[in-house]
Amino acid sequence: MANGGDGSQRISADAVRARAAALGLSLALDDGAAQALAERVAAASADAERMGELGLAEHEPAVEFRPIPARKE
Amino acid sequence: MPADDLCFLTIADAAAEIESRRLSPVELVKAHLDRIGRTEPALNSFITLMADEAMAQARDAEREIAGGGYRGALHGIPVGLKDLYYTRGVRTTAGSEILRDFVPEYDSAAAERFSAAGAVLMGKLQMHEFALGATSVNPHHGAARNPWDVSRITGGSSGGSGSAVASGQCMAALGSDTGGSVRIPAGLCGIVGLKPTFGRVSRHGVHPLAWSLDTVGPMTRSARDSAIVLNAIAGYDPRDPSSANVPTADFADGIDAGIKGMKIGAPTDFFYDVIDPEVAEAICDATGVLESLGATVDKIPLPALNQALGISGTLLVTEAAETLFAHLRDNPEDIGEDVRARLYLGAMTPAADYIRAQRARRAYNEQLASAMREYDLLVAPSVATAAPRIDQETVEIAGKTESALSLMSRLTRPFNLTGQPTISVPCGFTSGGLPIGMQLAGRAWDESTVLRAACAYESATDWSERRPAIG
Repeated sequence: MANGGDGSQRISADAVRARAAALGLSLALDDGAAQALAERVAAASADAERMGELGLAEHEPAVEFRPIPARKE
Repeated sequence: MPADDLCFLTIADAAAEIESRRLSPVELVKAHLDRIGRTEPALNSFITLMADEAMAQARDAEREIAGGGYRGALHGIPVGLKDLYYTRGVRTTAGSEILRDFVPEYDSAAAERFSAAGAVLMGKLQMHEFALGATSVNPHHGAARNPWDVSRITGGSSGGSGSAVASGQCMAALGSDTGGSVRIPAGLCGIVGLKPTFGRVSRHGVHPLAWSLDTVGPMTRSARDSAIVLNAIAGYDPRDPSSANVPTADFADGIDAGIKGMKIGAPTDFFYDVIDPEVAEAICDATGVLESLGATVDKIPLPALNQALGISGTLLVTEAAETLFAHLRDNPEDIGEDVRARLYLGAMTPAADYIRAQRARRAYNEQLASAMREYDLLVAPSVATAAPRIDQETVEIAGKTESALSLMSRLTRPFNLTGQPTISVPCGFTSGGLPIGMQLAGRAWDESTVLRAACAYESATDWSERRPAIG
């Protein structure tokens, strides 16, 4: 991974293949498609970076954990 | 009444006829099967048609009603289910090749509710593969085709549901809405599609896509009919961890009360950045109708909307990749190219990005909730353009080339993040004769206001009364 200069993390097609292999995925993509995927991953990360504009310091994740109440037999 | 006219009755009208025994469920179902026989070769709405089972259910309904056992407004009414609702003994493909022969051993909660209400299940409806896309152009089961122009898409992912209801093959159908999959085909096919509040309707037995976004909802030809269907399917179900234990009202109660005095916000951010001028004009006209009915419509800033696509995109593909990971790992060649690409993207998305998106969602939701404290409803277009051709990859808008696929869900995804109830109602036609839809989004748990406003708008216009020429 390398910094894209705009705060985003850019990844290469090879890095995408390596990550896929680590996940156990056989990435049936040619070089062009792998590069396109790498660019989409980078764009998504750039989106995540921009989400900071909403002011996240005080915001917990939206997904709430609710303990399951113990059931009496 | 001519058989084809029976197929375009509202549920409310058909139910009155059935209850008074002036209309037989057998006659009604047979009319629909005849219509399916004529239109299905052009539309491809169904993955599995259940003609024999439907006739048997219709005869049961007729017998029961004749014996004084009328169950309510859905008794004897022909309905369809998107093919991701589990149906015991009937295959449920989720629009995929991988599940082509999957036959569930139990019914989804919604199928149970339909059955208990006496509705007649006509079959399982076409959809985008695994509901992960908004065109319903399906590489394994063919493309669902738009009744208003069969060379065009229905939208998706509940495309068969949109097509079947708009063309008179069913009186109602259920879709599912993760990024707009009820409202998009409703908008493009000229019918009503309701995404209820997240947690209002059980997802038990609905093949999942993205657990923090998936919502189950009705697709009908009127707002009143959506209320009737919602009455049947809403309610707490402990089998679905997202199901909310909140009271349910009679959603048809007060639906005719009008919208005089309602406050409606019209966000100026985001919704009109990329939009076909004909769609924008139709929404402007529809807003005028809402005002003429006594509502106040204020243009309001909501800058958080500009983050909606980034947040929902990250959540949707990441959760979908987790849901479908085993298929992606074990059978990638059996997944269509477009869906596979989205799943790869989700699998590659760092966990940190997913968590950040969930944090941003909280901030986003707070801004929209703040607006909803002041306004009863928000109004926005449903889809930025009318239905593209099936082979069309791009759309020209204001001299710019846009991806047809990304335009489909652009305007619906903002309301999946909040989980607030949102309806799409027909609000006009393009010069080319294609339907346009308008979204009305309400406060969480207040489907009644959403339905009331939609009903008032329908009553003041005739868009919902038009029929496609097919069949």
